[in-house]
Amino acid sequence: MHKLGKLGKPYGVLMQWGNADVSLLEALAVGAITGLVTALTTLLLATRFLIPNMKRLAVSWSRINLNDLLVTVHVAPWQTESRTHLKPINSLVPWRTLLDQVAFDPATLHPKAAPQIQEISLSTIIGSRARRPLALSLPALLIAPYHSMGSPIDAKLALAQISSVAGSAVVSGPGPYLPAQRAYAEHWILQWHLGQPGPSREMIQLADMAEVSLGQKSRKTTPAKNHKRLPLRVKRWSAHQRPIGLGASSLPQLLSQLRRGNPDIPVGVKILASQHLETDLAAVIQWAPDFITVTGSEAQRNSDLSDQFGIPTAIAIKRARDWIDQHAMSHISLIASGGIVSAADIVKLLALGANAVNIGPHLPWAVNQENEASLDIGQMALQGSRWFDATAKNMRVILQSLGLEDLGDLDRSVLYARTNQAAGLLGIPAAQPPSQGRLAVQLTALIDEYQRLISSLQRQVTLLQPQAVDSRHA
Amino acid sequence: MHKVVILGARFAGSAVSYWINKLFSQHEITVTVVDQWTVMTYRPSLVMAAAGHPIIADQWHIAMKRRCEKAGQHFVRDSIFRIDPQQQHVYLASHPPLPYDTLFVATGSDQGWRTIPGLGPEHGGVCEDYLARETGDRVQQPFHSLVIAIGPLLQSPADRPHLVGSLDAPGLEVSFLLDAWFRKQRRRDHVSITVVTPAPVPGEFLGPKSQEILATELCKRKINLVTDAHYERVSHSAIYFTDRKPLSSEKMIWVPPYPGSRLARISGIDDGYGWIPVDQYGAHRTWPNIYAVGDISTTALPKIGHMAMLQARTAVHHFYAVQQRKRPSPLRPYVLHVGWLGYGRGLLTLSDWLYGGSHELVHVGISSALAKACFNHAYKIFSGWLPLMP
Repeated sequence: MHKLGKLGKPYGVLMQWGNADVSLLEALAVGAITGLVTALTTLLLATRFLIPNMKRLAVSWSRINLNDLLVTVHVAPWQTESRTHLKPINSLVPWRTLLDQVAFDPATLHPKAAPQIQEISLSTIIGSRARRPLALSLPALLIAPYHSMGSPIDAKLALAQISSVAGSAVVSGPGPYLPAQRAYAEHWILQWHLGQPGPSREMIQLADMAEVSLGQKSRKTTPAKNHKRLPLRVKRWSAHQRPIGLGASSLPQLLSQLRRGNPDIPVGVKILASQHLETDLAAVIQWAPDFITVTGSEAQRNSDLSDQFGIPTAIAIKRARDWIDQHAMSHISLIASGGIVSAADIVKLLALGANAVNIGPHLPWAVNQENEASLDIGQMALQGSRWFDATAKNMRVILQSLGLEDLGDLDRSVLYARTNQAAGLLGIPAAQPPSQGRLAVQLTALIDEYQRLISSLQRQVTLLQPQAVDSRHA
Repeated sequence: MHKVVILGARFAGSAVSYWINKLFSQHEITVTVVDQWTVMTYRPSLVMAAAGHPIIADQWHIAMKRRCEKAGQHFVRDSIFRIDPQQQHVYLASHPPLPYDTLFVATGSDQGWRTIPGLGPEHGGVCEDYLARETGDRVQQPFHSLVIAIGPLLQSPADRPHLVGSLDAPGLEVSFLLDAWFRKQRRRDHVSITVVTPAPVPGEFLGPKSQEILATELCKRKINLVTDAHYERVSHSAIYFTDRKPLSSEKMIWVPPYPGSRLARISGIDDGYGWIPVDQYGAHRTWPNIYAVGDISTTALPKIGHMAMLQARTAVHHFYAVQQRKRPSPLRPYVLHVGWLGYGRGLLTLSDWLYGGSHELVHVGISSALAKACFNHAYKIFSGWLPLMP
């Protein structure tokens, strides 16, 4: 410890910080400055984000988790397609998802630049082998959120309207059948959760595509009790419902029931992306689906624990596409679901192997940033369609920058990884050679050292083994 | 008790429920109205929304469920899937089959977006509230070319009268209203407006005088007109024709093709083209207890609200006459239409020219527009059940 100087340290040396002695006065000064900065920062944050959204926070506190709250309070102007409203803590989380660690490799001199942006097509076809494949002008299937600030029915109806003006399709989602949703949607996808009352034959025939969801929503419904107390019309309606049995063994029957109900449309299965994804795909392929939807861990679901399960969407799509191509099943369309919030995300997933993506759970929050308590379907639909319009434009800009004219020309060669981790996981080239990173250099050196050590040990073991054999035979 | 089922609760369905309520007591019949919406969108006002005022699209909703239930009629909100005329059942998507003794079908024609390759509602439209709202929002963005295109009417060649275009009235109204709005915004010199129709003249269903006025007005307002259009396909920036050069456009507004009704086709009660063949009373030619009113029937040309209301009146009065053993009156069709011209003016046409007559009353001016505005507001205030029904 150093001695005191001429003026001395008032109140003596209190502590040592590195090589410097710190007195109580200095500690107090530092503390005061730190406190002031903290207070100012808190005040700034409160003024900028919390106070304007306090009511929304109060409403949403019981419904959504912390990440969703951060998303909610960090809303961006809705007039343009933007992802910042869904990337709340940029300074703390450099990469929101694995997709953020992937970037596009732009066309410069070779390949040549794309032609007019107006001529770039975003259309896609799902279930190409079905008699009536689903042709979309935008490869995005809209799904309603599990959590919404207003009525979930209003959100579904608004999404149906948005899907029509965006040239996309809407997924019916869980819950009762909504005639208006079907009426608004130009393309309507019947989603059937196992355990729910089975869709009527009429519903299946009204659908443009049918999907059996094997996700966490699948659960057995409890039949209503005390039928005597129900009104006559409810009894008749209840008698009309036909619950479908559960269990993996019944899935083929369910798919064949859907096909019998409407043999023209694509029929598929939605699964959660797990570490044993390939095994699941092998099981699903036996039922000859027209498409498979793979839901990654970023998907918004109806349980607080849901985020703790599954693998990221990007990895799931990469693995699923590899598996499908290896088994010569490229006629099966692949749909990505989970954590998709921008045009860049959509194009990246399409480049990784998806034919279309599910999108939509975050829309009602962002749309409802001004009138949080009362959702207006018209306003939601209008602002949502603006978002999709901007998203389509951005997708065309990306394709033009990549020198492509059609979504079908996308492949993994247009991507590169910003991190070595993403490069390894997604099988795409990294932006920088592994040797340039300090940590990577250290790890490489460590690995080399271990390999040399292992080789040395193996040689020693090899030298020792004959003696042991000889002694055993002796 | 006699079971009456009304399919559809828009112009025609609402008028049917009105006349049934007026002619029959609740002790004689039970009435069930089925529609997929509990509210009716008043479509004649949607042209205003598409002409730069999207908020109007959500201001013209009429609570038909409440209107029907107030009169003691049942209302079922569901998608109508199929009619079984032999079993006399209507099959719905999520409700048990609905039995009927007499059926009024007023579901209208489907919108045949997919009948032209590449065409879809994403190109812009005016015939539904969400399409008009979207169109009204899109025209506020900067652009330089706008095409308002009318789809074809895919009716049976044997139908008389025969029209080529689905309905050009809303397309022409939007063009005039947008012209006035762009001038007010001082944007008109930078935006070219083109109306494309498969018909040989604008206002195909109106008389010669009205057609001449419309053609003159289009020319005077520098709105381009393309007639006799045969569509081949549509991309998101151009319309391709079979017999002429493509027409590029930054924005489009479509009145979609009318291909008839899927419901009629699936039920096997159509004329082979998706329209229900009816006699002069609106009754089905094969199934006399089925009436078709409004756009879905073969004789509802042109497909405008006034014609649907006339048909509803004739059909219900025929049903009443049969019940009461009286002599019914047949449909005497005529066209009554007021179209917006912008600047507070309207074009009123009262004509039987389409049906072989020679009478045509035409008036252009503010009074015509006022008459239309009064009718619109009265229809909304009385929820479709006007004190004086045509």
